[in-house]
Amino acid sequence: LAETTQPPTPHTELVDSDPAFSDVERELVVLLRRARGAAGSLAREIHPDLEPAAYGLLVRIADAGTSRATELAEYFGIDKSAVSRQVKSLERLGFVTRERDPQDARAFRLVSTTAGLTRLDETRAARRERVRRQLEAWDAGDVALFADLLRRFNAAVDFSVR
Amino acid sequence: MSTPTLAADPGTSPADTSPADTSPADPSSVPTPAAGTDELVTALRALFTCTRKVRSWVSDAGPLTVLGVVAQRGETRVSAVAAALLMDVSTVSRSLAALCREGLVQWRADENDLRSHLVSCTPAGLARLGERRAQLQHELALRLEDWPETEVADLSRLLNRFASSVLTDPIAAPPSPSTAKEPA
Repeated sequence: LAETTQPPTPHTELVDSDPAFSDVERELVVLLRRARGAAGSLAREIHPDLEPAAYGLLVRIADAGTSRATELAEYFGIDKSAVSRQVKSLERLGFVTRERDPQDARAFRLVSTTAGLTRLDETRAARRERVRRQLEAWDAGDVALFADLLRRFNAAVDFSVR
Repeated sequence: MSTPTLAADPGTSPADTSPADTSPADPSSVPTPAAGTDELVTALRALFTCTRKVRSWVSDAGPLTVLGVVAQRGETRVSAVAAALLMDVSTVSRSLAALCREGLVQWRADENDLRSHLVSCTPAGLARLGERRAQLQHELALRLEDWPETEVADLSRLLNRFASSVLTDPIAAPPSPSTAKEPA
């Protein structure tokens, strides 16, 4: 796509980069950290015994339809033992179940149960409602501007430079 | 003018070519607050998916996230880092052990509790974080170089406003039963 044959500039030369981008980078890091915290409280809303890490897995399994444990480990960049521990807790709570993998008789695929999907939907709807109430204090122009900037930012991030 | 110039053809901005950019919102119509919020919530969800991509720009994003939290907190315990990141203590311990072998964090016994240890960033750790931040900024600059300065500034401002009005900071306010309330 892009004609970028130049090697990346050495990092040491980048330290004095444009302050505008360093602002975006900083705000993004803060936002993501806080979003992680929010995921933790969502996990507790779904079930008091649900660990935040397991919440992430539940969301991924629900969104992907079906997942193998190895795929989850790769997606989250954690080891398989951590995945199986969280998956066990999701199974115990009745949110996830395992099915034989049609492509590999020795393997299982993880699927969310109706109960898991229902709880997830309810919790997400409640969260969306809270966000909406918070945003009522914003003027409509800022909300629209933020949505527009984020949409374009997402497209820009998705765009491969190399 | 410090923006790197090795980005793609400036004539086709990513937003123009993205298939995702076919929203029904007509820019000439005045958005109703509710519809605008729905769009924003959708965009935010997409943002959180996008962050996997952002992380892939930095080679060792996982351990560096842990390093970043240690730097943020100053001297701290493994359990506090794990709580802030909502990760298993065992996972965080492994990351910290690897960072320690690289000389990026250091340990010290806690004089108030001899069974536990406090971890902090070494100068090399802080330098590594600075490098990676610069790397991220560089990657951002490549992708946002067509954006007018005002839009980049608006994005920062709105990200900040959203994060501080809608989400609490797990690092600034570590989870504790008495302070489970969001700041107004």
